[in-house]
Amino acid sequence: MKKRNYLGYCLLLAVIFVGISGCQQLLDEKPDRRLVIPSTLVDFQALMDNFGVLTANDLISAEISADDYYLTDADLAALPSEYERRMYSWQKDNLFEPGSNDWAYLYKAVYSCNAVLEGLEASTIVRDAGFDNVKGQALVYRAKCFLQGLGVWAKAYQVSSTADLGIPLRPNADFNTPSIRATVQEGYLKVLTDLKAAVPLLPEKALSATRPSKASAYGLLARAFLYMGDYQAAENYADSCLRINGVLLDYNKFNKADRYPVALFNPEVVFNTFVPPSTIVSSTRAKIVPQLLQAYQADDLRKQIFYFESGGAYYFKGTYFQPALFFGLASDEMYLTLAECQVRNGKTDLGMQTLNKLLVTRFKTGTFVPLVASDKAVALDIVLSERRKELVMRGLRWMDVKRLNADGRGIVLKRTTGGIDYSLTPNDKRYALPLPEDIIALTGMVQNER
Amino acid sequence: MGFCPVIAFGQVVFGGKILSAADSIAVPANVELMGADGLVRKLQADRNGIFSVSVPGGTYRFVATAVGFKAYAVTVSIPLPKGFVVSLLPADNQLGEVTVSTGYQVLDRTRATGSFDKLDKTRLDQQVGKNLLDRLEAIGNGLTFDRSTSATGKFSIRGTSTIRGPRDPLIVVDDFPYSGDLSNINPEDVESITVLKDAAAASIWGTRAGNGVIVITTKKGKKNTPLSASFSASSAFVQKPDLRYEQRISSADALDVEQFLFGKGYYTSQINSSQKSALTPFVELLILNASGKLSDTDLALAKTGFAAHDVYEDFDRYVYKTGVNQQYALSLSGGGEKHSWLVSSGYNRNIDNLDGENARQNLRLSNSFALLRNLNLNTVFSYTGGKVRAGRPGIGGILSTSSLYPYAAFADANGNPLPITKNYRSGYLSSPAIAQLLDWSYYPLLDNQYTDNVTRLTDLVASFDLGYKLPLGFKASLKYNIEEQRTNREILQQLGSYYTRNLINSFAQLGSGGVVSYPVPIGAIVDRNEGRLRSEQYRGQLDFNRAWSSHRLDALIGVEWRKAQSTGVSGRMYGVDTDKLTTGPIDYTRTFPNSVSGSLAYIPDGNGLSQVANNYFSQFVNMAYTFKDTYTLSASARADASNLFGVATNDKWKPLWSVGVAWDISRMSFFNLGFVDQLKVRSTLGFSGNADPSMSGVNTIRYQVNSPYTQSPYAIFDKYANPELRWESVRMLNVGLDFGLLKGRLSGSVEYYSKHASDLFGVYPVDYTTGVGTTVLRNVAGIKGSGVDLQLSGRILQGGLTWSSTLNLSWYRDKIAKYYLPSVQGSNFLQSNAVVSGVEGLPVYSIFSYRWEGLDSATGEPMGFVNGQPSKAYSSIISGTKLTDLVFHGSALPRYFGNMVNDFGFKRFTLSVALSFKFDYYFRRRGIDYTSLFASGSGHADFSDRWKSPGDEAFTQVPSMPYPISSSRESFYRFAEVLIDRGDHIRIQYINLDYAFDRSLAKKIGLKTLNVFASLANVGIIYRANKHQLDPEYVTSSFNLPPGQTLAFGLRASL
Repeated sequence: MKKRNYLGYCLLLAVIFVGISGCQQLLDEKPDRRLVIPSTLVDFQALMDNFGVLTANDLISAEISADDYYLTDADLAALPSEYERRMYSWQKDNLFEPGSNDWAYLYKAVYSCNAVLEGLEASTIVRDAGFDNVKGQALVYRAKCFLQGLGVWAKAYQVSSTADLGIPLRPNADFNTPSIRATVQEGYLKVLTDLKAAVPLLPEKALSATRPSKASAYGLLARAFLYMGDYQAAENYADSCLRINGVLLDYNKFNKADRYPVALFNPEVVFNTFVPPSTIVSSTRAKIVPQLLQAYQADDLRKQIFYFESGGAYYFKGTYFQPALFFGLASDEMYLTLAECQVRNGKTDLGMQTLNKLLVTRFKTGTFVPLVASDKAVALDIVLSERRKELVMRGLRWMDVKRLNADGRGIVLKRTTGGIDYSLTPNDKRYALPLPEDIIALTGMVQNER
Repeated sequence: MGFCPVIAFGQVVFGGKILSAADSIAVPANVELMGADGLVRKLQADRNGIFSVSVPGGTYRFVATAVGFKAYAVTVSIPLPKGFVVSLLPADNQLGEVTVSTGYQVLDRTRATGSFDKLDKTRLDQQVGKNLLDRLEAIGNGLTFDRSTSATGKFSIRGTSTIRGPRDPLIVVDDFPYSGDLSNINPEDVESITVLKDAAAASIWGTRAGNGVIVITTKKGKKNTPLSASFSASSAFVQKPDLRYEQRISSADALDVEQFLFGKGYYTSQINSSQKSALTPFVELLILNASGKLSDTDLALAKTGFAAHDVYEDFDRYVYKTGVNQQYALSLSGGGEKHSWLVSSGYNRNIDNLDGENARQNLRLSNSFALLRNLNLNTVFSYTGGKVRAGRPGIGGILSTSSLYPYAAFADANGNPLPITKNYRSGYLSSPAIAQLLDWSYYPLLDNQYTDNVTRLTDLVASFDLGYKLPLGFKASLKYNIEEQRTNREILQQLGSYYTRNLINSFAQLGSGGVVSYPVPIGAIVDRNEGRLRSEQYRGQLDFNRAWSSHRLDALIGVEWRKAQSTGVSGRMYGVDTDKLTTGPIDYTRTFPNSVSGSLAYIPDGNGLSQVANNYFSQFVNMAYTFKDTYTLSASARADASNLFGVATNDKWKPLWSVGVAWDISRMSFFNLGFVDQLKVRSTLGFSGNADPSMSGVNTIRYQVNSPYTQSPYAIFDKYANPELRWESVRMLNVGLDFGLLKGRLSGSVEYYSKHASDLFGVYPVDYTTGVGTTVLRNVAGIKGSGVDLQLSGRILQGGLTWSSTLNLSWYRDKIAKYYLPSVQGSNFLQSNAVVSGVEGLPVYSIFSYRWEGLDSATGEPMGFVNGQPSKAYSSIISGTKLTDLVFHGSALPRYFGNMVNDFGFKRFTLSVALSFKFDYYFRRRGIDYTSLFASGSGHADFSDRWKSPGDEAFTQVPSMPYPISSSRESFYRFAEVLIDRGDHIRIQYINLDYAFDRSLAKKIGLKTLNVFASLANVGIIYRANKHQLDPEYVTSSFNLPPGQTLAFGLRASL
């Protein structure tokens, strides 16, 4: 009788003992094996390889606002989004659909970079070349985002305009930190600082062109300095980029009849970022403006490689990342930037040589006559004309118009829809797009004057 | 019959007999004897109702209880001078039932302080074919299915207590949470269901009890009962749903819209597109007409032909059929002194309206062994085998592109299947290059023949309960439960299926000279998906039950842990030859240009692995003290921890507690109201809480498949560090009054409860410059809620025609007590599903809308308000309307709801009619959305009532057709005041007619009882406040049709 009672108590003790010893292990098991608290280099690299966030969402607004294409009234009216229609005709407000827009895509990528940078710093990972590489990637991605954002929501960089507002430069991944707009100058400075810091960290070329490399950092530095009007620095960095990757494709080798003649990840690509064409700039609606088409000479292969003809109008096929629009860096852009800077820096002949080196690959074999310029002004006109013909739908035209007008080029953008003429005179306030209205309502940040 | 007391070793033998008062049949009742020494002696009468026990002489309190009878209690002085015979009165109603099970203990109802709703088998059985949870809505108290804040429907007990966390209530089967699919349980195996409603429930079951607890007790064998068997069978016919319920645009109207859009050049870019994406047949004819290849007369003729056709007629004629459900169940049970057992089996086979098959076999064996004098072992083994074969695609399943044009024809006049436009333009598919490929046409009525989608399920559960009685009223028990569920899904899509042909063709490479190569090999595609769920639960518990003189203490303490792991493997094979079982080779490493668009893509590989674990560790304590069977004081506490990821261990624990009191007034000496049989007040106060699984102190990431660019896995953020998030905490007070009047003719309970929830979770719009998306989870509000649940059972008529009725009526009201967040933007509170409202004093889920000024008399455009002035500046209405400027209509959840079941008896017939009702709430109906009408060619039938010319505004509120489309105008109208309706309605849940054969008649064919029944379920709405013929329970999402009526016939027999 007594013995049996012990049996009961033993049973109970066993239960409690097993319970407590099993408890901690039970609670520490991961609820999902795919879940990880990022702590290793592999984890941080995996976050940087999240191409959907970091490389596939460049800012389409820059292309929608630019003037390389037009839509018929009927096609414009058929658009499901009035925001795109408003952006097309450079309206003052309501250009961004609340919640889901370029601003959101941009800062989602910035968050990833900030989280990786903070995570790396806090980690115990050995500070070796592997660590540097991932850190450098985060810096370059973030700089790319800020540079594109400044192109859309800020006026052109002017040394004298210290008060012009740019975009928030979110410093960390804490979503409780309020967003504050930095000035345009602070913005560019941040881009430069990040890119310069990234240069020594990165390998010359990356495993894939979707990952930032030393060449991409140089390329973005060249872009940033070009936008800032520091042509000497831009020349140096474009040159540095081309020293790593100066390959040019011979357009004679492509089949013009192909729907997509140029291959993805071709050797010209330095940094592969892109954006899916939105409905307004898709190849079914966006017709290339005649002024641009007429600029191509008869033997220029680009007209047939870049465009297809349908019903008398020309549409953009897509270049380096079709069917998406390639907004990344490629060696052709670097040649054009180098040429422009050489010309601007007084090395006219050298600039023309650089340009010719590019153009000879774009013309039917044996037909290209090297271009010459009598003086700096003519040379600059030639280089800028070639820049426009080469870098179509690359997200660069809007910023080019902006910076060139700041430099006194006097380019006037014009569009006509529904019988109404719209125009954008040089340095119009509308060159800085309004921030999404819901962002203003949520943060109380200052809206761009329009 | 008498028993003489015999004196032996100072003990007296006390014995007697227990009979049913109604028919003097012996009752094997449970007997409890409580002596002055505080010891409780429990025993059971045998099958002849006879019991006997040796006890010391003295005064004892004698209690006899049995299922289906009222408890009988009396104070006896032993030895008794003469024979002791007890006559038990039948239980009059549910409230009179003796015990309720919480899953941890079986409580005597008379001593319970908490709020329980117990539903017995008879009631549950009146609904044929439905799963157990669905049956509760028609008969439960304080329960409702909330279809306002969630489209799929969320079981809700007493309104909102928590917003996040598990969407379903915790289901407990035979003392353990059930991890498998609830439809695995054979409803015929269920003895009773207890719903735990108040905070005491949560303090018993912990953090997983946030949405309530439903305790299911299965049938068991009883000691000392002869072998008995019962059998039931039924067949049910499920009517087709009303396919026109959704009120879609007519073919004629849709054709007019297409012609209008064509005239505007809406399709031009698509016509020019190299994607060749499909255009509807009429648009193709319009193109021909525009290019002069089709005359105006022929076009008009074709249009008339299209207009006469309605795709919903095709669905009705060719796709939907009457469903048939069959159910059979057999159970055998018996028991002796040391062993009792029950074995049951069931077979169900349901063929749904779309010819999908769902078959299930159940086998269940429960045993109870008295191993030693003090040692008991109870075991349950159950097996469920299931097979689900997907049926034909129905409405929403057969699509042209992203929708289906309303004049689509599935068959010609003779019923021969026809193809419909699918992904690509018809003219393009007949072009020479494409014609070399596999046939690319889509026949909706044939496609299903080439697809086989079968899921097989095996579920095994074993549970063991070892109990050891210790001296002084202690009992130690150890329980173990293991469940393993395996599912195996195989989808075979033969070469004949559109899916397979489309994939093969998309990847086909057109070489020069008509050479075609196929990177996706020609053959069937097989997808396999295997899932395994394994859960193990252990519980160690020490009970103490002891009474002495006027006192009684029931207590338990224990620990419990649970491990549940789900693993999954999925894979795909291409180019399968189902005869020879060969598969084709695939190159996953490179891209191929699409045969139509030329865009590059990888062949999808379909392989995946998953492993998910949910572990819990809990400690609990529970006690109740009763004085003189009149006053009860109870308390319970529990602490739970789970393997929340990314949270420090301290934050994983959540302690919960509750206290309660009960006072049985009818036992007081001063109480002398003759017509009152029972009067008891009780109250509990407790806390429940909820952690959100997305609570995380650090960023967590989730690995994805390989990036095509780097050929290595990439990762996305799974949760963003959200260190400010606190646990939800809910304080709930429950006060109840149980009563029985007029010798059981009227009984019931009234309960009042109040809830005070702080730190309620909610999604909060954030500045998306932060990069974490547009919303984050925050503790958004504190709420106050209160309600009354009334349950009333009465025998209204007695005699020849009997009528008894049970009414469950609930009143619930809640409001935002404090809103923590600064958001005042109106549009944030206008969502397709109701969200937590941000205005203090208004219901937690409120229906708001944009103020409506009617239609512009000149253009038919909708008008709202900006700064109090009528306006058509839709962007400004949306961005400028503050929360306080919105029109507040009322609660999104019903404030009054409940059900009423009436049973009418005449001779051997019983007719039961169950009604349910919901009152005082609002819903947002869907109207015409021109954006989706233009994009998909499908929309709401309101289109035909739209404003067309000046003057129309006098009799219509449907805006004119805009061109070009303005998405902000559409979102204004979608959330405008005119689309709000009252949700009030009454419906008949079921009607059941039962005939019980005379026992003597049954006996002639060798049966003890025989019942036949007919039942009609989903009878329909008999009153609704809205004038749009809408069922407010089926409005939140498309293709969510109210189920068709179900007519069932069946029989139940026992021997």
